[in-house]
Amino acid sequence: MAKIKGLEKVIANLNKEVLGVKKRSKKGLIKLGLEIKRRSQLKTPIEFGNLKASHYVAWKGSSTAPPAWKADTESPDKMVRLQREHNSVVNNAASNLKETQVRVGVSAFYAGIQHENLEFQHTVGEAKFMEKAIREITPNAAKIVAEDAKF
Amino acid sequence: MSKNNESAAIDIKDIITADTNPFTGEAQNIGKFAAKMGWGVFVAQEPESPDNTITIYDSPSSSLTVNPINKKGRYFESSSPIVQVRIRSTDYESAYAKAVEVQDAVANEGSYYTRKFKYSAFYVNNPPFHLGEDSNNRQLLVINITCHRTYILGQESGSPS
Repeated sequence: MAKIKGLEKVIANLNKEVLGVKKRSKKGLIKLGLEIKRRSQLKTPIEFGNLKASHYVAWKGSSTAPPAWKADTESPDKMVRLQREHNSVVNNAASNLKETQVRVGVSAFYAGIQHENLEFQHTVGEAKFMEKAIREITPNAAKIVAEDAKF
Repeated sequence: MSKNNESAAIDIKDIITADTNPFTGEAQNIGKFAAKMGWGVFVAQEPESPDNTITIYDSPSSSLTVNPINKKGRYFESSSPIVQVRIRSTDYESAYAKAVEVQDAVANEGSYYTRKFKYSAFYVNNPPFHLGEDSNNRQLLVINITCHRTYILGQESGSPS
């Protein structure tokens, strides 16, 4: 009977490669997240720039510098709230996401209203900024992730 | 040129202003097109009055993706436009109830035919989302609906299969 030698080594090498693919896929997911964020920010309505600044990409263990918020002199409380909620949202994502998950989001408490109100007239930016960014990138999303995941 | 570049908002308007729901066959009274009293249904532009309005927009996020499928030598153009339905009322509870009524009227099993399209599915993407109040203290809620449709060459209008 023929005896196959080195099978354990092959399996060990395969497992090592699979782990490598997992790690590289995550890198690809982060790249994809950053691209969605970039595209969404380009379309975001701007008054003070805080909605744009509140975009984030988070993954397990991620840590990013806090955004440079612009002061709204008429409502200083708003800035305090933006700061507090941004930290909470991003830290929560970084500690609760699974290893294979990456989250793109906007932390500003008024983001939903700005995103969904099609009747708002903006001089800069537009409604549905995040949704449009995702739709734009969707045809190439798998390619972006796969580029890093290759053997 | 794509034949799929026509307003899905207008087709949704036809579904919700119909006296009979085209999927269930049940009588409905959600609103009347351009009505000046009661619940008025509008497309693309929300008027100042009446207070109770349902306005349907072709969502700007909706890409008119054309996916030609060669099936038995014929090409079918399909796309998934998104419409936003915006409900306005002086009273939050009425606005919310109307939003639910709209989503229940649209999100049904079966296909819906217009002269040019077969709508095979409608997905309500989110529960009613509160946009706040307008300058006249009227409550605003929105729902987003994804429609899957295929261009067809003339079939009976409005008939579910």
